[in-house]
Amino acid sequence: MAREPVAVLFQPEDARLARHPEVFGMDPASRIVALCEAMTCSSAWARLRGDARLAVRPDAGIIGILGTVASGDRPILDVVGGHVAGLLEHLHPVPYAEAERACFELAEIIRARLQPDELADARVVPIPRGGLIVAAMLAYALGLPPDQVGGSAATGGVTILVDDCAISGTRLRERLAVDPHRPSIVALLYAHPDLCRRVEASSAAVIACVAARDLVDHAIDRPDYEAWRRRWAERSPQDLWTGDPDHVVFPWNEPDALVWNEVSEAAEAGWRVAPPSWCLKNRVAAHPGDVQRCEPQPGSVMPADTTVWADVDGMTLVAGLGDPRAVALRGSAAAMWRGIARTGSADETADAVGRQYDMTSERVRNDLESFIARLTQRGVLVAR
Amino acid sequence: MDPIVEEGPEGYSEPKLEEWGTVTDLTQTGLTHPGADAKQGSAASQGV
Repeated sequence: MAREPVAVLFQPEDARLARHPEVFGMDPASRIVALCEAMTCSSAWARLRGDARLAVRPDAGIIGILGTVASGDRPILDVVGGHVAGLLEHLHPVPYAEAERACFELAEIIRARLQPDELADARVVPIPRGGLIVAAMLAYALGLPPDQVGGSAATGGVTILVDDCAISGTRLRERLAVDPHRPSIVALLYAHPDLCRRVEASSAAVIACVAARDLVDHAIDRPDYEAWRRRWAERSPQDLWTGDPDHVVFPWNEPDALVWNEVSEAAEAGWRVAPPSWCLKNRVAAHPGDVQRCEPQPGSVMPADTTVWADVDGMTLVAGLGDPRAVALRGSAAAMWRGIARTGSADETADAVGRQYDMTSERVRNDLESFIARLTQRGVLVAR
Repeated sequence: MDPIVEEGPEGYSEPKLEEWGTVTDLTQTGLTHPGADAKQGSAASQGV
């Protein structure tokens, strides 16, 4: 598949990150870096990262994705600004203590649905992986012994099918189909009430589908809600429910969020926003080395506030919000850029590049002055 | 401090600016259309 050069920049609203200091930290520069680290955990980034880098300008709150991408992956890249903003707008982190509280409330809901003898014969069955963690807490909250947790039901008792959250209901439907006649209660920490009703309607064996916490559907606020809902219902006919609820994130799991790829004509897992420091699933998927921090040394010549850069495939790619085209720098040009970024000084850069290439500083200085002039004219460097 | 020139010191040549891709600024998309054509829900596992 053909590849194309890319230089995509965006400035996420810091106010959205600042709502969650426990997740992103206390200062804006740390927050934007944490968001970048979260983005490297995404399925989207796993596809893009081979020949692209995430460049972040912590002092200006700018993120850049620079490099080349396959044409078929371009749609995943082009939605990054809107998708990340949407996830952050409705981000709902659930810390362990809150998950534990919700488990105890879920236990009370289940006790209200089952007689004591039914509960004594019930089996808690988790849906991996997040459901395993919830099932363990729920079993403690219900006072169930270990032999009533996990495995498959050997008796005719009720199955309590457990997951941390359910959004579309696809996995629930698949799991219920494994043992379709088993009387079951579906127990979730978070779900939309309409999804619960549809799970109950999907099988006569489902006694109830209950959630400790209700999710709110934000899709209905979209000006194109009806068209959006029809479109996604057609794209994902296996879903029991189509909506866009809070982006619930647990300390062990950030659920998938889908984006539409018009090239592949498929819904694909998109971007993630929970930093690996907060979410176990993202900790093992992270590629922190893919994040290049652009932290220029202040001086008489330095990258403009709106410029990001990254080393990709032997080049230094430079892109600024005020310049319609990015530039690729190799060899001496890349060395000059790095020298300017690291020293803020034309003199120090000329000396260092001269030493590196065994050239006189005077020869390098003439070229460097022209280099600085051209990049200043493009708006990606500022010289004082 | 890392060396400014990280690759081997091949022969010096005048620095050139090579045009790369168009700079796409998606900031406004995030401000005016948060969410894009996207939704929550399970995707086929991609091993991540």
